[in-house]
Amino acid sequence: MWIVDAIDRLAPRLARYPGPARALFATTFVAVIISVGLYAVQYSSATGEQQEAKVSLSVTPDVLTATDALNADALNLGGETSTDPFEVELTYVERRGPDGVHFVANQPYLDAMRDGGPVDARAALSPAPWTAAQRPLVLDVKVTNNRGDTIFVDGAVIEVESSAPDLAPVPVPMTLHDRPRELTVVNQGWGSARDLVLRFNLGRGGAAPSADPPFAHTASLASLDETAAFRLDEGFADEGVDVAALRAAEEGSGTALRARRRAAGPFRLGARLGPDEVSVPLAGQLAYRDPASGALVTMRVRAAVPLTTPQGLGDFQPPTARYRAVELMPEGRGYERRVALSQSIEPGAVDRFQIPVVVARSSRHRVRVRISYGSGADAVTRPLVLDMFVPRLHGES
Amino acid sequence: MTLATLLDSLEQIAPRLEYYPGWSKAVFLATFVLVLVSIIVYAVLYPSVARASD
Repeated sequence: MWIVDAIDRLAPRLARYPGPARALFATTFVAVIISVGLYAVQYSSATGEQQEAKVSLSVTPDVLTATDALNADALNLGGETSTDPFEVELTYVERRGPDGVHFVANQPYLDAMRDGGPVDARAALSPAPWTAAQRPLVLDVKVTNNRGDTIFVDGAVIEVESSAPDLAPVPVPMTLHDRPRELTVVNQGWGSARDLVLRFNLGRGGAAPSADPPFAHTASLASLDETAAFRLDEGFADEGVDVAALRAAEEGSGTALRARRRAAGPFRLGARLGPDEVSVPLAGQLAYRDPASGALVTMRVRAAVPLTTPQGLGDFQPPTARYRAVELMPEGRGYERRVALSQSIEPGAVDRFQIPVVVARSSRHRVRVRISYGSGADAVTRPLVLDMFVPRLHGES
Repeated sequence: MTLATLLDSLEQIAPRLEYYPGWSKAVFLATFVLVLVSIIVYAVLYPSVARASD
């Protein structure tokens, strides 16, 4: 063996080396022996640690959504790209900060708000839950096994160092059809906003108002917890609207169209006073203070503010009642289903209620709906065809 | 012992060294230095030792 041969050749000469050199050689020899021993003794645990290190883990926010996948159609994810930033589904993205990696909510409305706008006020009948933003943060875990053997992952632990509420307010401006001359602000954040000031311009004759200072009008609110509304009566009055006359016309029978047009002053109302025909464009700046951080936040806002309540609001209003469902027969002729109603409708007002209709199987029904009122009077619809679908596994077998 | 064998051994040993305890790594390093110094001392003193033995 080569090592024995080497020692055989070296050994006779070692005796002739000076004492310190021989001490050095002896020390080296002992050190080599110790090192080999240490290497051998700890080999098993070091190898184990090396094997453990071959399993690597990476966690990212799940980013594949129906709307951002390039091949969403091919994947049949069923997503539709919304043009309304508010309706775009919230996702989470990874951003690196000085204190580590952050998974940050990514949503066009939130991004626009953080960037100072402009944000467009939403027009609706009532504040509704923000369903597009009700998305969980999905941790996308990838485990790489570079070991030579199979591993079985049988658990995960999320070790939380700390949790703290995010109290930043998220104001969402809205215009509600039945709240004329108001800009409602819904707070989708979990902390309140203080000292809200809306500075704005109004556009006459459908013209877009200037979105830059100076602003002609100001409205303010002391605080915003869940919902609050800027009353813009003063701004409209400054523009020449007879707000008192308009309000009186709105509280009347709902048919005083001429009175409303007169009161609208420089703003032209459409012939039918539909929701689009009564709205006035607004552009401005919403400023508020975030009490949690003390920051003064400013964002540009655009809105179409209803100058008056639209006619035919019943088309949009929520139903005042929903009655018990009536069940039709899958097959049959000349039968009736009666529903007891209890609705009162003011003169000139519109009411809306719902009668659910169910059937045990997919079937077609030719019907007419008749309502009775007063003593023997009734009103009847034209013939209707109800093509009802019931999935077989949920229907009558 | 060929160079290839030596390199193969180092290739196998070196990645594992990282997973040894710190004090073991210190012993390995000290041994390595001692080996180097010993080789140098052996080589430097070799001519005079050879002359004396002749």
